[in-house]
Amino acid sequence: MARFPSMDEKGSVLYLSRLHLDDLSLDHLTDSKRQQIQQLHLNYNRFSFFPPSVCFLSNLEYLDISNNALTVIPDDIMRLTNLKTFVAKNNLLNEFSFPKEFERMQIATLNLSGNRFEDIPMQFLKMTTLQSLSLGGNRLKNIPAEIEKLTSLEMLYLGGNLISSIPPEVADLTSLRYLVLCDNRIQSIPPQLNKLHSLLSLSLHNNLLTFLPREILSLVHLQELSLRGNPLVVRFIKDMTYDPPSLMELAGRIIKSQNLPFSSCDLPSNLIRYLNLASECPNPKCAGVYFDSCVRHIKFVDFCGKYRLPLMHYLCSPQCSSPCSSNPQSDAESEEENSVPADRLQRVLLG
Amino acid sequence: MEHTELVKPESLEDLIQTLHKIFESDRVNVEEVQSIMESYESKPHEWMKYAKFDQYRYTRNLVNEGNGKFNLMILCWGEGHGSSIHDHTDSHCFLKLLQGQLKETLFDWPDRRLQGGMTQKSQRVLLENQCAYINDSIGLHRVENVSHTETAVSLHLYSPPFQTCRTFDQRTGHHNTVRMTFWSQFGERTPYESTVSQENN
Repeated sequence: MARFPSMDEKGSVLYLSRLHLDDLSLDHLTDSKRQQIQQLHLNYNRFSFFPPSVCFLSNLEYLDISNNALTVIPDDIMRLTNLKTFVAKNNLLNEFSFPKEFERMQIATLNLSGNRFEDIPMQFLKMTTLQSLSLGGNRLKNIPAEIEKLTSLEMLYLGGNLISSIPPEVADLTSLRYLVLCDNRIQSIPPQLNKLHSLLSLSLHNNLLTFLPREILSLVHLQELSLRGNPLVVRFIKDMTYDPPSLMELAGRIIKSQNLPFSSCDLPSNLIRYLNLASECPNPKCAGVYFDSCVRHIKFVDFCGKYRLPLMHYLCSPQCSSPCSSNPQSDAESEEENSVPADRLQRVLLG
Repeated sequence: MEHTELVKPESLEDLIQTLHKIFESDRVNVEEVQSIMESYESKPHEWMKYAKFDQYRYTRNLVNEGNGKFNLMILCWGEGHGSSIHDHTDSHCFLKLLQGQLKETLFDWPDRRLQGGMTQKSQRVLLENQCAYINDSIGLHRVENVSHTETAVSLHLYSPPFQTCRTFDQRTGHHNTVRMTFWSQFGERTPYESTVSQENN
């Protein structure tokens, strides 16, 4: 952390941190000196506006202007065609602060943690070169489905926001290795997240999760999973308020499981549509299907260094036995959970 | 008992030399060690070579083996990185902040008979240059970097050195014994083969 201006021997890295700067003039530099600068550190100063002279460092690849008082990023930033890393943590930026054309920049790492974003701006969602996006410690209320367009994304840090749900489209970010969603208000994890085959680390601590989807077991490469500070169920009492299936559902189940042929001259179109919506029971030993009526079942499983994680899955009926778990030991434990006294009417979730 | 004169260490190297002298004797004066560690003013250029970060979790980087009497190491915490609740295998543990802040949450040892979760006893935020102390008779703790914008670096002294400790599941009080590994030693990266998280977190 330089407390005096300095430059490295090659003249490519310029350190101007902690200098009480509120403006920056690089006029004294020759053109060739300006072309040399590849990294610029302007963090911990007093910039309330983005210093225009920075935009003329045409070979700039790395810019850190964190811990200032910026509210706007000017259009001229588009001149920095070689900029790969842009860090502006702890400023006063929000979703309206960036130029309309910002999506054309070839930035790979964007860190805007500690600002005032309430939404992820549309421009960011079109930056297909983005590998790392940090918006930790902002005021984001949700994650837009358009996040799936960031196909190069390997790191997504959204910890410390106001997010209450995760759209299944996050699962389309197949290059994602590190997903941080800690310190939010998330109540459930979409089962589609098991499509994130590259995921190595998932941070979910300090949320409102009571269980995880059973599908999470497919994340075989997962090395880190943080779950502290969630009201995870310790014991699960079977929900005795199970709604029995409707006659239509029962009829539909028989047609599908018996493979009874039907065509458009047999049935009105609404029933054909209904029959095509049948879901297969996740139990591989059960050939059953269900439409709207299914049973939630929690099983406690050891996974990723964690002991007794409550994993939820859905079955076609209370009589359907649950699929084999990954750990034979936890099978024995959940047998215990299954023998619940019939007079237990309430589903009890203990945090 | 002989006391070493409490002179403020001028540098990290100076601190290490002073610690070697203090630990020549078999008795550890906790206040003395804590005071010496706290009075060293963190200078990043002195410890930067040990401060190797990992994207996904905190790292332990060995600095000095203390002639077998203690281990001195630097821990690097990315944004949001935290430890499990853990014990200190009957050793003294000193924790000094070199950069950033860490939250320490204290827990009592879980009562096996109660079969419940573990509730926190107290919590505090350790600031730059502060030095905390804990041992098994005081209790267990969890250490976390709760910042989403800043990394944290801490200097740890453990005496006597230990290679395994217990990590505790807050929800059940159940514990696992884990082997502790170093991300680097003496400034050199030293990989260890492990694909699963060692911390129940």
